[in-house]
Amino acid sequence: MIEQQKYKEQFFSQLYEEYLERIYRFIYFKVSSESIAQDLTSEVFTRLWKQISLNKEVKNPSAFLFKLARNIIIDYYRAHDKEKRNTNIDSIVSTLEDKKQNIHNDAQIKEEYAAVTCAMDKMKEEYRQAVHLYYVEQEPIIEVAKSLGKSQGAARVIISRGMKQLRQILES
Amino acid sequence: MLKMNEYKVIKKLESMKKIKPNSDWVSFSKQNIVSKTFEEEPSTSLRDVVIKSFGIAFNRPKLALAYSFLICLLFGTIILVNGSYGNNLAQLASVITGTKIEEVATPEEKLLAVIEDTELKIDELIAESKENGESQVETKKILADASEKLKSLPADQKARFAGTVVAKVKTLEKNSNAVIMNETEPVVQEFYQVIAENEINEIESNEKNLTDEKKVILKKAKDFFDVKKYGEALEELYKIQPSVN
Repeated sequence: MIEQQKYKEQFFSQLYEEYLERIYRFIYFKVSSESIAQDLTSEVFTRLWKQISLNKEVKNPSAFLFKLARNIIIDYYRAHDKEKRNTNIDSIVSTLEDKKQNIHNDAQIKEEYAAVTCAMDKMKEEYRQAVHLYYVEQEPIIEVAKSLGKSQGAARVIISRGMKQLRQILES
Repeated sequence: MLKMNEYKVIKKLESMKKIKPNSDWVSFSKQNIVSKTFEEEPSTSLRDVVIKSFGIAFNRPKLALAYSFLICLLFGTIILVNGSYGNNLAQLASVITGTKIEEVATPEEKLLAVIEDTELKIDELIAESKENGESQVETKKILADASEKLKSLPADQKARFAGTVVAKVKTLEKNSNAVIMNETEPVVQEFYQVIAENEINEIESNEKNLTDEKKVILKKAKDFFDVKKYGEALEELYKIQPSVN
């Protein structure tokens, strides 16, 4: 019994370490608030832990977690429907600055980040997830395909269409 | 509008990977999550209860035997009460088939079913009329019912339905040597009106090919139609196009 519990914890830790940052960023770019992103990320992993501790199978952790994250974001917006949904771009840009990631305090750079983040927010959800995984997380196609629950060919098409949509939004 | 080429957009996206969660929060959150315990919520759905009880039963041979006996007894009683087994199966099949038709039927299929239902009833009467010749009252009921259905049908289906009903009732009249389609009755008038109107439209659409003589007959039929003498209008139309019955 204790061994089984240990095994479950190990399995959870493995997934937690592997996916936490990705899920956090995925949520963060959508909600633009560190504390909300933390809460929602915790919720995603709590549900994962529940799944594992009740001996329910997690066949494709990547797809499972991103689907959970998407649903939790949707639930969050449903519950906060009347609140402003505007992306707080300054928050993201300043977070990048805080981390001293060679982001110059330059108005143009700020504007570019703001534009990209805003455009991402307006993208079709599937495209956003694909572009995020491929370009932001720099995951290989096979992993993106797994997360989307599609074939590699289909994932490539989705990424390509996603980038096209992103550029169209940026240019509009 | 912001001018950024694809390379620049990709670079921006890649640089976003630098956003990371607070490391203190990461370890705290993990400990917090793992400390939670969950218990299987008892299922209250009937399906789960049945499955569970069967699961328990089949782990114990005696219980499984008792369940099987009960099921056999139940089926046996149903069969005995309701008559022969074959009939029950037929009823069951018709119920299942009927349900499926209801589930998948498109408006067109439903319409077809309405028409077929009325036609079937008249066919049954025709068959019966050969035997006893007493079907007048029943036919009038069906005609009244068909008239209601006729009103609810779309324009393009009305003429076909009315034509079929009238043709079948005429056959019935022949078989039973009775006059069922009394032209003075409003129900019959309705059927004749629909058929005559459709025939006039069809012939008019082909008026170029009509001889002068037929054009005169068509005019006469239209005049009858205008004064609501649909039976006479049909008789005239029949002279132009013998298929009109």
